[in-house]
Amino acid sequence: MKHWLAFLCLVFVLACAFTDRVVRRAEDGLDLGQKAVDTYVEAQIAYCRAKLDVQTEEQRALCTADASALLSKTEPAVEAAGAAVAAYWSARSVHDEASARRALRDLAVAVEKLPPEYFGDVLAALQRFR
Amino acid sequence: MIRAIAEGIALARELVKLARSGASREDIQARLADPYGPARRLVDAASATRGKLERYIKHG
Repeated sequence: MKHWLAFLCLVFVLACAFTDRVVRRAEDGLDLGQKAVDTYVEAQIAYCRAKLDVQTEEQRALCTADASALLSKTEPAVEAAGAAVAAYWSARSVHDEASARRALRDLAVAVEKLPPEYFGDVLAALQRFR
Repeated sequence: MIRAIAEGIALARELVKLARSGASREDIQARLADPYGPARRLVDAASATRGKLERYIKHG
């Protein structure tokens, strides 16, 4: 009986360590993806700055429409993912494992809306939790 | 049976990848001490990118 309980405790500890590392990997993927999005936006701004026929606010908005569309897609999802990451670590810090599991599922749902060409690492990290 | 073995191997690979991912014990402890830190940095980075674009559109 004692051995059985020790085994269950070990499985529980390993499961927590596993999900902690999954969330850490997802955080890194979110950081990398956000940096890639930032690089894309900067490149588009540089391209529009170099164009001589882009002078007014309307022309600048039109020229950077792709960057705006990308941010409209990524910003809410990154915010939702950030909220889920915060909820996960908060729950883990008070040993509330049920809330941590819920937060992990929320994180997996939030990142589904992110474009895979920028956030492929996050999607891969959370594939099992969707 | 073969499928279960394949899934087991895939899971083991994932575990090895995670173990090598550089998420140290100290790293995890830091997050447990400040649960909102990583989320704050992430959201700040996203809003900085938005700010950059809006500044360009408004002021050139």
